[in-house]
Amino acid sequence: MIRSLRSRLVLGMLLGLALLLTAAGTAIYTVQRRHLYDAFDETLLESVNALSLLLHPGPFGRWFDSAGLERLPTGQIREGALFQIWSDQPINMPFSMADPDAEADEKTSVAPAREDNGGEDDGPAPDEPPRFDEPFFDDEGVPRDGPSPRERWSEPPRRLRDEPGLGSRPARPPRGPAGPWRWRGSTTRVIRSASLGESDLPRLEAGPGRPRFERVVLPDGRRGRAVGVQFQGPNSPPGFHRLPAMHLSVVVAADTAELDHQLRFLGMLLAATAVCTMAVAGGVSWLVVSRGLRPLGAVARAIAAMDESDLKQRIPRQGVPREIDPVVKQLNGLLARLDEAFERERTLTADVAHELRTPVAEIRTIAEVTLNRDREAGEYREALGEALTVTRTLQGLIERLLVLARLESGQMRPDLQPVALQPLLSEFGMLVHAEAERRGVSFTNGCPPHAIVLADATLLEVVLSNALFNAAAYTPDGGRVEAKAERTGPGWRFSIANTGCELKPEEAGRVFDRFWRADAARGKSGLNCGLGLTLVRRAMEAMGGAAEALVTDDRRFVLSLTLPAAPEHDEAPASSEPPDIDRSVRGDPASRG
Amino acid sequence: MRVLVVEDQERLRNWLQKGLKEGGFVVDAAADGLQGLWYAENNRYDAIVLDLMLPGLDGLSILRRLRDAGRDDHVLILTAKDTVPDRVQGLDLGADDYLVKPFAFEELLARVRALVRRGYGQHSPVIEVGDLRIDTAKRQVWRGEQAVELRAMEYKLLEYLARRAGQIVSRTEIWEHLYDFASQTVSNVVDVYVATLRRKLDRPGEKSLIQTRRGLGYLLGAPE
Repeated sequence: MIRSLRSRLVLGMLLGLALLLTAAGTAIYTVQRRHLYDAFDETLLESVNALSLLLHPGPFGRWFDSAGLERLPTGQIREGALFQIWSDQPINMPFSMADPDAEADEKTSVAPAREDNGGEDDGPAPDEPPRFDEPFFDDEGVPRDGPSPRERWSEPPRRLRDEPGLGSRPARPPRGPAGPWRWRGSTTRVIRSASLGESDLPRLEAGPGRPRFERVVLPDGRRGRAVGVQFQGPNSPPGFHRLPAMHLSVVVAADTAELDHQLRFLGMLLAATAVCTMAVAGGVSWLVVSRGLRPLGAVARAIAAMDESDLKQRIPRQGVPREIDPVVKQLNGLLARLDEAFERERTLTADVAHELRTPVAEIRTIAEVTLNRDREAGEYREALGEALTVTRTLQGLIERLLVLARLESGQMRPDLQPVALQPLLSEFGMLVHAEAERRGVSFTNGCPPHAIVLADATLLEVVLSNALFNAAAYTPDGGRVEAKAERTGPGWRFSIANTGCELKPEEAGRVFDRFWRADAARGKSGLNCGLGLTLVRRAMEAMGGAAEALVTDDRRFVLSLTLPAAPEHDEAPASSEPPDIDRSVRGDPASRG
Repeated sequence: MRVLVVEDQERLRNWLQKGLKEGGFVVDAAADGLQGLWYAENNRYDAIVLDLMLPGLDGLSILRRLRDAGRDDHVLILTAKDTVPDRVQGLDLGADDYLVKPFAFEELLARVRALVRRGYGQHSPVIEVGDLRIDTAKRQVWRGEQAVELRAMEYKLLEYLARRAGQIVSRTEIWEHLYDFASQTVSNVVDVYVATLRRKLDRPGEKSLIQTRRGLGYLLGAPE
């Protein structure tokens, strides 16, 4: 697995490019190869066609005569082509193409064929002077005009059984003294190029009129290509000369060295081009990818430049490409959330410190000011009383913080039992009432007696005392506090509402935040430490219930609490006797002074 | 020497007021930010003890507004916020001192006294005018080698006059620094105290230490 994104991108790109180049190169090579072979095959077929004229009946009814030679369009015969012609009938060989030395061998070798086919031989008499006695080959078979460019092809045949003029077209009718071109009067069924020597070309037949191409190995070991065409009398293959009704099989072969060379060159050219392209593309894409990844590095540097002391920093999104932008955005979001969490934690610590320090400062000030001079007993008593009150507040605060900490750390496991709501509400209602009475705040307990919930009695008392006390504390003089309960599906929803709420509706949810108070108004009456409702919510959650706050349009603050109902059959509620819980945690007004 | 206490915790406010009064200061107390700002804007204080977390208007805003208005009252921030950024912010906004709750009351008194001294360009707690010597920390007065026993109001008056030695101090200024906002003073009460001071401090046959500039006020020591 390559870990570098740059390497991965570049490799991927190169892989794609390689595939593309391979496909394109293969296509170009195939088309070109096809084209070259087609052209090659065309020349082979043309050669076949031209050679077929050799067997066209001449003016003397011979199959093979000088007229045939003259007619032979040697220009249409492929340079360097080898050929071999098979006939189903004996062909008169009106002239000898063999050198005198080889003549004897030739005669002996051909003689049996002549005897075999003698009856069918209607060629001219053996002593009839050949019209083309004048050879255009000298003794060695080299044209008198000197070696032609096709000399290699038309090398002086050792065995002159083949057609001599193929490589050097006769510029004029053969004339001159008699030479090795002599009427032999022999017949044969096979004519072949001198270069073939004794070897044969494969007889390629694919039925009349259907050329058959094949790769062959030439006698000299070179690789070549051959085509075979079958002539069947008048049913010459389309595009070929019409021949008399005789069956011929013509095979022409030529070496493919040049073709192969061309193809090899093409292949190497394509390969070289591909390699160069890959190299250049690799370099360019490396540069491009490096450039493209630069913003990533910038982002990394921006992140590295941050330190944990300042979470207010954000990664700049300016100039960040669209693909990286979501990452940066998410990172910034994470930073913001972290910052928020850290800020909350900092605030919490500061708040706890603040809330604890203030009462301590009070106690200390009271004590120190009092001790500053000698005083009357009454003054001491007053000072001690005040110090005690503050100490109670402080204790309540500490207890709440502890309960809260236990609830949040999961140390406090609620013991859930059926508890009747109404008596508890009444009890704590009275408690609140005592505090609220002097300000004309009324309390209504609208809870039905059959409202029995499944709760931890201790925690429920914490909840109710804090909720009711909070309601009373924030109700203006002459206002109302109302408790209600209604059945909702599997549980009871009971609410404690007070009039004259000064919170904005959107602030309602914040009352559960620790130490949160509207307008930092903590000292107004010293009633609320800002932990009561936090405790309510945590306690409710610990008991599997929920607490929600709502500010209605008519400025009522509604604290809505949900708890599961006790099973119906168990109608015995837990004792409403106040359990052993410190009164300061319950929101006892006496503890707040 | 008049001090303003802005503190929203009722009990702490009362006890601060009580302690400062017993420490020889004239004290006004404000329970919230707006009230505190009103007091500070409408009176001259030798020192202001300012809480930061206040309903209505927080302490830093009060400080900023006072400084923006060009007031150079000496402000001591008294708060439970103890982090360095909090202190730096408070001091940078123009507070003269910063004290974190809980605090030793003696320290608060000493710091307030120091602020008051600074307000009159003095560094030593002992003021000397001629052979009159006043130890403002111990609140003791000597004339030469002779200790002088003074009652609280007499001492306050003498200290104020001594702090402004060489300057003519009007009766209004004396009232402003010797009586808190709630006091109902009689117009000639200052004259009565001056007379008492003269009786206790002056030596027979010598020129009175406190001279009267008719229509202007009083002068302690040689005029500047």
